[in-house]
Amino acid sequence: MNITVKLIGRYKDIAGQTKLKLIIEKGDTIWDVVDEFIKQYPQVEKDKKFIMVSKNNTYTTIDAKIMDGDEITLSPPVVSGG
Amino acid sequence: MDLKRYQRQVLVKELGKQGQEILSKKHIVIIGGGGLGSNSSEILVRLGVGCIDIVDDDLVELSNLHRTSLFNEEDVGLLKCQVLEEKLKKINSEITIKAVKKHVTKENILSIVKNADIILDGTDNMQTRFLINDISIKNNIPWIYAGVYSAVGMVMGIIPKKTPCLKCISQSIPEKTEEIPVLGNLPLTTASIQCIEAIKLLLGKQLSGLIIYDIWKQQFEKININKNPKCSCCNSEIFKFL
Repeated sequence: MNITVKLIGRYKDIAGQTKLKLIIEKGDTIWDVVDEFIKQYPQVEKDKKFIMVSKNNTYTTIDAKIMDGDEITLSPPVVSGG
Repeated sequence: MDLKRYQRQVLVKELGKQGQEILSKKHIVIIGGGGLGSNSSEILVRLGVGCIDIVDDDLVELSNLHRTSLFNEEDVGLLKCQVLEEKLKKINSEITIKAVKKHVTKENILSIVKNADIILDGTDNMQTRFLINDISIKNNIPWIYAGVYSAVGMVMGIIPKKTPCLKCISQSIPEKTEEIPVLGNLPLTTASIQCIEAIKLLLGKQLSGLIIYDIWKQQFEKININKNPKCSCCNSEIFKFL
């Protein structure tokens, strides 16, 4: 399946684009998308456990399965300083 | 309320005299009186919110001074909440301002926030934010998350049962491994965005979702999101931080 991954914040700068086109297998989850993103851009590895992920504008768990036509958004983790 | 003080502000059509009257009757509890909380408290006092509690048990440190306009060198070593109370009362004597010298815990948080119309996040750690999130959802008190890191600020207004909660968007707590970098004027900018969301919420207006602002790159993003239907907090009502 071909999917589009929308990037937010510094992920756009890291990738040099606002959207990524990825090819995934049927049954893949958002974990697989995050893994592929990290494979292409290893500098985001440290975010892996905390990355904000949404599917069709709904924040979701990282083990959610992806269906054909889903739009995935990857955002940097929420920030914690005050 | 002396409307003369707000004569330019009530001309703003989004607020008006009616909105100003509403603000004068509202009670906001700000948890944390550092970079975010001190700036938010000053903005809200000048805007004319009727009652403001500032909850903090920390002392002013020299390393706080770069990111707040209310603390001076002479305040170093004094209680943040008391310094703020004293200075804010001089800015607007019509407002009820209360310093609450407490460290927020799961045991005392309900007593601190139970009379609030809104809770404002001025904390510096995710543990306390998830505690605020739990008490907010459980007791139906809206809150406004705000966080800063380096040159990036994030804000999200959270209305229990209506909008996504913090747990919806953040599954895990990032470990605090290092001192958090913060550009000096970022907390003021972020606090300003946070206070606008608070005012909109108090006036029953639509919030702007998750707001991410990079003040270095001048990039502003708003993400409109839905609740996580599997959220352990706002859907399943499991309050693991309480």
